[in-house]
Amino acid sequence: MKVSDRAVSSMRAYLRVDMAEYRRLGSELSAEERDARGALIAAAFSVMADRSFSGSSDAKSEIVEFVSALRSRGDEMATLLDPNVSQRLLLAVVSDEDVDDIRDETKGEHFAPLLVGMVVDAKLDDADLDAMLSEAREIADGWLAED
Amino acid sequence: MALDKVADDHRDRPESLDAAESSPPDSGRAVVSVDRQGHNRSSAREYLAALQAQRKEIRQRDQPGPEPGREKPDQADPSASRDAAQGGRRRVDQSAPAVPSDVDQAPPKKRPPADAADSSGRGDTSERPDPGADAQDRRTASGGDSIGAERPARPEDRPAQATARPDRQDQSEAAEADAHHGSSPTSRRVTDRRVPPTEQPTATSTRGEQVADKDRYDAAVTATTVAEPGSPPDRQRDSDANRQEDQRDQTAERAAMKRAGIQQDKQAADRGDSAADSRPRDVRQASPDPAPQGADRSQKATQPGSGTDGSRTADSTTGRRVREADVKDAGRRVLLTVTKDASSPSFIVTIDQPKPPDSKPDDGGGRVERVRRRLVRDFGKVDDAATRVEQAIEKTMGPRPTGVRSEVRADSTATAHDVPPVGPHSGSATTALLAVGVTALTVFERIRESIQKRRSEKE
Repeated sequence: MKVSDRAVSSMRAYLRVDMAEYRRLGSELSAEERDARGALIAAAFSVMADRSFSGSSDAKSEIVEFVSALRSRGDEMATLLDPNVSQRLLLAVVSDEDVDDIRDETKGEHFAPLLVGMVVDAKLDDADLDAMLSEAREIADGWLAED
Repeated sequence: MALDKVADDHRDRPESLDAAESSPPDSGRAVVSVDRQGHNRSSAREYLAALQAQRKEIRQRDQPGPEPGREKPDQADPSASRDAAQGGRRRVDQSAPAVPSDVDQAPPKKRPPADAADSSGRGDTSERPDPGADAQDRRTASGGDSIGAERPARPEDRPAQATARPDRQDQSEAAEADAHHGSSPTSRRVTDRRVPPTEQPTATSTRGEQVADKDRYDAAVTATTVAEPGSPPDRQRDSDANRQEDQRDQTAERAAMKRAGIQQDKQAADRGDSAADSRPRDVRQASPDPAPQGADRSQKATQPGSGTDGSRTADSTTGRRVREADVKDAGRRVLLTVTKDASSPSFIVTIDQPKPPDSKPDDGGGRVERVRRRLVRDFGKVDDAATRVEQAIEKTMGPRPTGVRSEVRADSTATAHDVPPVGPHSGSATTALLAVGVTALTVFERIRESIQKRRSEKE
């Protein structure tokens, strides 16, 4: 199983916060394609977290600041994001933080808003967004091949 | 008569032989060599020339200097003459193991052991019709049969002049004292570096023991050198101890290699395939089979395909034989290939560990590896969770609403543009007319108020 083009398209709409398009494309996906899209979300989260914080000398402080700013954008986001879980998930990418104790549902609920926040902050244009999704798709395909 | 004179000169003055050797052939001194069978040497000159050539050869061989603890051949132990008669003492130059040196190599055949008197060879008089041969035999100590008339110049057949003919007076005295005491001043241990250890005890005779097989004896003596102290029984014990020690070492080596498993072979292969070209390796070394590994590595390496697992293929056209064995290393699958090329006597061992299909070289900090680390197990749950939170994301980070509900977000992350109030939410024509009417009414009322104000001012 690999990540399909439609899954990538729906993911692009999600990151552009075009949820209408996301819902439309998502309705056309099969169950396997949805699972593959979940792998794509996790891979994209890893890629963006690595790009955003790996090169920093004080990655942990920047992660804390980023999560705080994201939660302050609205009540929904503040309710949705747990600061500890958010920081640990980001640290798991740039360090050896162990996140095995966090459930996959909780991880998924944090991956999506954190990923959108990083994409919005990075001000990626369409080409950059496509390149990032291509890299994430390659990683996701590798993960799916292990299963 | 001449023989007696030479023998007496040699016995009384050990340097007489040197003088005889150095004397010109026509000096008038005649030396006749008689072997045990009574064959007279036709020419003393020939014998002396051969003797001199051998002595020169030995001097050249011994020029680098003796090793510590080793005696020069010229300074032979006087007791060696007695030892030679007993058949157990041989001193051979180790530096030239392939060529026997001037040692008392004559085997003590047909000679009673441990009899000092027999060192003069008088016990063989029955084989020597000429009594004058006694002098020569005294000089050779025991080697009458080694001085064959047909082979006068062969070193291995030379008599034991080096020991029976001491070059120095003190050595002669020491020999005499040794003979009186009946004990060897030095006990030597014979170590054979060419003959296999298993053959050494039988090839080198012990004190007072006759050796039946002359060839084996000569082979052992030729490859034997005098090294450390130790009586012949000690040599036997030392040899056994060395074998036991070797066995213990091999056992320990096998155990260590068993513990190390394939790691050792991998390291050996990593040390260089070039090294593998010169040193064959056993496939079973890397095999999980706990069979004996290190002891017969080279032996097994000469028998490709004799391992326990793996497949073997042969190319009859090139004579190239390839054996592949799959071995496991810490759960990882490793392909071990042993190649034997018919044109080369060596083996080539290659270990190939297949990489993951999507593996990329690390950038040094483990960054790529961290990124590729899988954070979740069930991707379906991630997709479901992302769908659940889409509304919150849309509300928080989506495009700004338009119309009367539009607002300016503090983070300015909305991508929606401020559109003019057109469309279904921007107002209908009635609304516009109403607005125009209201405006017109307002204007009309303002005009009317203005007119009324002017009238009141006039009145």
